Amino acid sequence: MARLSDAIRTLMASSLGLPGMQNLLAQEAPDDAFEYRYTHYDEAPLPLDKLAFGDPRRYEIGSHQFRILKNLGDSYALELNYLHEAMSGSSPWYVVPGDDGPLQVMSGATIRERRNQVDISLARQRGDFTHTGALGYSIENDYKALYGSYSEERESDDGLRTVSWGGSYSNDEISPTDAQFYGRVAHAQRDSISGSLSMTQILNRNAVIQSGIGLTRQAGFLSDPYKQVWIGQAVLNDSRPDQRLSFAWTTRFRQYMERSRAALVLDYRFFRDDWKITAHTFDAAWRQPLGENWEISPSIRYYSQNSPDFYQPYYLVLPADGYWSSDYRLATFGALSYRLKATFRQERWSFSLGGEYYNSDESLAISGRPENTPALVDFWRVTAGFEVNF
Amino acid sequence: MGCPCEIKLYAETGAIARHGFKSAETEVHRLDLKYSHYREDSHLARMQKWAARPGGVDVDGETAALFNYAQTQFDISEGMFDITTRALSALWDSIKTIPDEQQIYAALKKTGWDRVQWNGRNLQVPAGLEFDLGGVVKEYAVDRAAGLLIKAGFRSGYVDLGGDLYFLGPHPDGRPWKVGIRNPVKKNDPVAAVDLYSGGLASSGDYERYSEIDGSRYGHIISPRTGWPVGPGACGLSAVSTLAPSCLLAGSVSTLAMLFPSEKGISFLKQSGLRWLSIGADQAINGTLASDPIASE
Repeated sequence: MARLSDAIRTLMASSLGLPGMQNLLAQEAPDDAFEYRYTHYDEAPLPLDKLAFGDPRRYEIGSHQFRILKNLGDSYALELNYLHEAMSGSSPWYVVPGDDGPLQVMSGATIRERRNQVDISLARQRGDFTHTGALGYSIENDYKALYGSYSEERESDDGLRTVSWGGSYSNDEISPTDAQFYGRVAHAQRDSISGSLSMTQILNRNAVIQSGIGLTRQAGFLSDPYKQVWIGQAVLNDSRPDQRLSFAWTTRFRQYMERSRAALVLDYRFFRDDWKITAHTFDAAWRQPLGENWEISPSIRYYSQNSPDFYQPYYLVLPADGYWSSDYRLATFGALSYRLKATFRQERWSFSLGGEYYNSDESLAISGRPENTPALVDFWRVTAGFEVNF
Repeated sequence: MGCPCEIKLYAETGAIARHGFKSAETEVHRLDLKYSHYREDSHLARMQKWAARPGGVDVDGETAALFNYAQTQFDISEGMFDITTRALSALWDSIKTIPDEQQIYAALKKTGWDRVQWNGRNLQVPAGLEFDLGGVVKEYAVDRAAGLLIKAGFRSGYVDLGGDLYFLGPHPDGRPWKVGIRNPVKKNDPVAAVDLYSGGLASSGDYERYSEIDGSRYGHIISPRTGWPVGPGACGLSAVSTLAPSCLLAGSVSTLAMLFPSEKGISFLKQSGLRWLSIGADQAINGTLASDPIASE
């Protein structure tokens, strides 16, 4: 179908308040689609006054993503995703005490990595139910992951409420490079199983709320084989508990503004795990159509987490429980990211360009005990993509 | 519904088809009982009486959604698509001569959505004002019936309530439905044949409902501004058919196009992004719906 005019879209949105209409309009099968997206991710180098030794240049990642959606008959849809990523740069190893606060030790040589990921999903719609099964495989030279998921979605008779639930399982295999040379674990595994339940409710013709919970249980080797810690002159490998149970609650509210034709999207996510990490994410986005073909969307995201008990930038004495980590991603910190995305849409294709600046800092945390964490990262991300519908 | 109705279904057994037919028919009948202005005992008639009393009446969810939709139609059409023109249509339906200006003025005074107090739940109307949901409920009933059939698993067939249609899907062998768009003047003379697979199709014009006074045809779409039927004289379009994701949407777009002055009607259709077909007073056919136009004589 061609792109609908504003008047038609307003009428259509208004008719969604009628019982069953959601069902009928959703009946329009999505078009077959092909999508390509390129993302360039660039971390700012570590400031030299925070560097103990190593290479201050951090990760740079280029990724190509392809997506194909194909409808098979009336009730089946097949989706295929392929991702190729190439990364280079050096990564933070451990932190040592310095005269003016802790200093970061970085890996010396530049790391070069490639990752390929493919996943395939099949959705089947029957009456009020949509069943989706998916399988995926991701491979790097030191990492393999195989995962699968199943979910069901059910729409209420009046079409105003959707309930969905699902489960997923993943098995990761890690075989770090230069294991013998650096004394890293040679081979390790971890399993992860998770379940989720969510509900979407149309509040009125302009507002939708969605809320869901998820539980994840991880078991196995949960440490990072490339991270180390400084413990009273000695350098040891990262050591984390081999079990983790986490809980997340996500809520999204979407309000359409008739007068400006814009949409406000507010998200909140609460995260808590038995390592005692608590995290909050707030996201606010504004989607503003301009003329018939353009949409501009600025958004801002705030993130805050506190560190688990076993985290410290460095240790003076060996912790008795055997758990230690100086991975900056476990530190107490907060982050702000600013994003802007522009989309140009024609009848059968669209092109989009987006940019994001991310800045993290100890002082942005809303809870926890902030400690000087030299490796906290700032990055830029630029994404360009196009989609064609058939 | 006070019009010829047809439901055509393909199913594995006759019993399944009959079951589907029965549930769709029951739903159409429910909406007819609820909203018909031909019935004095309808929910709409009772609600109208209550709404004229001080404090008005709180309406049920389905009716509220219909009024909200009517509000949107009114806003988009800058007041031309108005569900309160019952007094005017009753005037033009009932008499055999052209009403005089005084009769039209009296009827106009009993109309006007902008005089209705509607807050999304509570409805208050001035005395004498009557609703005519004919331009909304028939199409909505088509969608409701089609929605129930789709939910029950039917993917081949259509629902037709007096020329407002919803196609569930093509014939089981994949062939489309061949639909003839009729000439509004010469009834049995199709002006275009259209291949349709799925979606809602609705037409507006003086196909079925019109009054013939002194040899001239007056359609059932009355302009709430002038109190006169819109017709070829007023807008230059004699009929419009639209294909949309729902029959309700198709019906609204067809009627809106008829209500706008001719050029605006055509540009509204052109910009809509939907497939449509218009027949001008001069029988000229325009639009993107006619894949296979048949020359009219």
